[in-house]
Amino acid sequence: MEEVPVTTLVAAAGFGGGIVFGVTAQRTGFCSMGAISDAVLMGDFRRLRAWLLAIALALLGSQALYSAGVVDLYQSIYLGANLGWLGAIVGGLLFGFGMTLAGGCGYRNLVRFGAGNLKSLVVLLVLGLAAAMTLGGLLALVRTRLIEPTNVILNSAVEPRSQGIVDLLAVLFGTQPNSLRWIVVGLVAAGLLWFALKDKGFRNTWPNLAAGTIIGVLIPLGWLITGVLGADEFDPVPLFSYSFIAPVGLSLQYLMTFTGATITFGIGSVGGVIVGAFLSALAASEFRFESFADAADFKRHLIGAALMGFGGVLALGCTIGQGITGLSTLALGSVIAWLAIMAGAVYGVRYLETGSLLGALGALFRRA
Amino acid sequence: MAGGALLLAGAGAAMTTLPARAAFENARDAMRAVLGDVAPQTGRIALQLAKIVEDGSSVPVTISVDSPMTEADHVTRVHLFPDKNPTPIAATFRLGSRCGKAEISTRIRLAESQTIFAVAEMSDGSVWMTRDDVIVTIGGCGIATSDAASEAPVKTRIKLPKSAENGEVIQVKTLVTHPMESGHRMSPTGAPAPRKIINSFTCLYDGQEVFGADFHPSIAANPKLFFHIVASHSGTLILKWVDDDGSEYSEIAEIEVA
Repeated sequence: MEEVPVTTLVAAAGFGGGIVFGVTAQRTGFCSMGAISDAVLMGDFRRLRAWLLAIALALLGSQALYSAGVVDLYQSIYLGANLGWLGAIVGGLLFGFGMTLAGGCGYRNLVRFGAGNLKSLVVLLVLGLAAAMTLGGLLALVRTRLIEPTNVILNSAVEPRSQGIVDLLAVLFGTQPNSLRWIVVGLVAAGLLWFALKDKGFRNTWPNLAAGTIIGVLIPLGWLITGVLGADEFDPVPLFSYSFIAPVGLSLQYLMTFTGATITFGIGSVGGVIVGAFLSALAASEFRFESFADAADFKRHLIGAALMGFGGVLALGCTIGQGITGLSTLALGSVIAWLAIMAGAVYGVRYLETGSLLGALGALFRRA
Repeated sequence: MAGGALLLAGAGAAMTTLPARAAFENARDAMRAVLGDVAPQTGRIALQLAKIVEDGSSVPVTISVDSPMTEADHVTRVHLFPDKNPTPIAATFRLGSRCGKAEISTRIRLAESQTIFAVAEMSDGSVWMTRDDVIVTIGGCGIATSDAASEAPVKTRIKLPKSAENGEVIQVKTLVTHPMESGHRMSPTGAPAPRKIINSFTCLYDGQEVFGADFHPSIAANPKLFFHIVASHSGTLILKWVDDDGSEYSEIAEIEVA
């Protein structure tokens, strides 16, 4: 009997987790862009608290897996010694701005497409194309010639060579990373949990609580899928968890080169989110086709999608990929990228509000 | 991967008296040297390869040949030629009727986008060929480079089914952890790192070779090799890898036939 290839198992498990992702966002309205615009425009922090809850749980779960020796997070793309600070800043800003134009991040658009939104289909196609172009196509030249030469190699003299905040602090204090790990993890997680849960309005809205909890648990699950299920002794799959920019580009490439391609965790998870959101929308009788209102709407989505695809690859991830998965590894680059995404999104929200790039800048400074 | 100029410099330095290290211009040259003046026919052999790869340092490839693999009619040798690599031959595999199934999986290095040729020689003297094009893009973000030289001790691995029916064709999975230093790569000091690869592999079934391979620098680090054998009786498999420096690494496994 032929055994099922490990890549197929890992992709199937990623697909399963993706379904949960899709159902969760479709049912609860979880949205990282919405979280920022609620907070900026209405002073409503509930969806932002859901996101922070997810970060805290993902951090605790991922670090527990590492400390238990189950998953070596240092094999992930986030913790390498090569700190792409410029990519994180430029890419993060572009991604954050782009997602406000495109009605949400890559994850949100997968969910909206599953529920029948054809605007999101266009966003995903353009986002995927821009991401693939930045990975290995024309825009990869910008990435490798302009952005990556500024990368800084950290800790070149000490082991483990890593951009982990724990490891950098360990060098600073002349101690071992693991003796500091749970102090840092505990402080960060406690701070996030305190901020998320202190608000009664948040604690009483089950969709936000549920979204933060489920997504926070799915990230360590992703590490388990690729790091344990995928640990074939001859062909281990790369360590990865949920992220929704490069995988969208690779999914398009997979569809176009199917006869000679191998499915991966990321491709499975992209498909899972769409299917999960589709089933969830059907079950709730919320599936309906939506399209662009006018040419200006179309243009906004196109530009936003292109910025997200390009920026998301430069920054090594999106609001999920860096903003939860990356943060769960405590990588310095993930913190930079996450803050840059937030800044870009706040600016984008102000831009949509004022209708001009300069006006948005003015709005930022007036409030400051 | 290193640029073209570096690769050429390395190719010259790596020349020695061993025929396996002869430098060829391209796959056509290498094919003529290995096969003589035969014109391969098209068909019977198939290559399974990604159309687009981001990490040229380790590209999975599976070669299969349509053959009954009987005493009278079987595959004798299979060769893999990456046309634009500095060494445009990656490996030669030796097969026989005791393989039962002509299907081999390994991982190769591809310096750039190119055509890969695979050639099968049959026991009746016929020669069959196929080709496939692969696009190698620059590495995506955070792709781990398995090309980095490693000081880790060499480890060997083998995996067989726990038991087999008499006469069942079983897959043998093998791996040896080894940097496969190609001789074309610049070391951090700026000089080409000297070539040091696993250059041959044999699989003995109760003392007789049932499968073998010659490796060239185009085989990726940590050479992986999957192949098949017929479990004809309970016995011992001895796998042996030979390093350029003369070291030999071996692994022993028992085959249980019900």
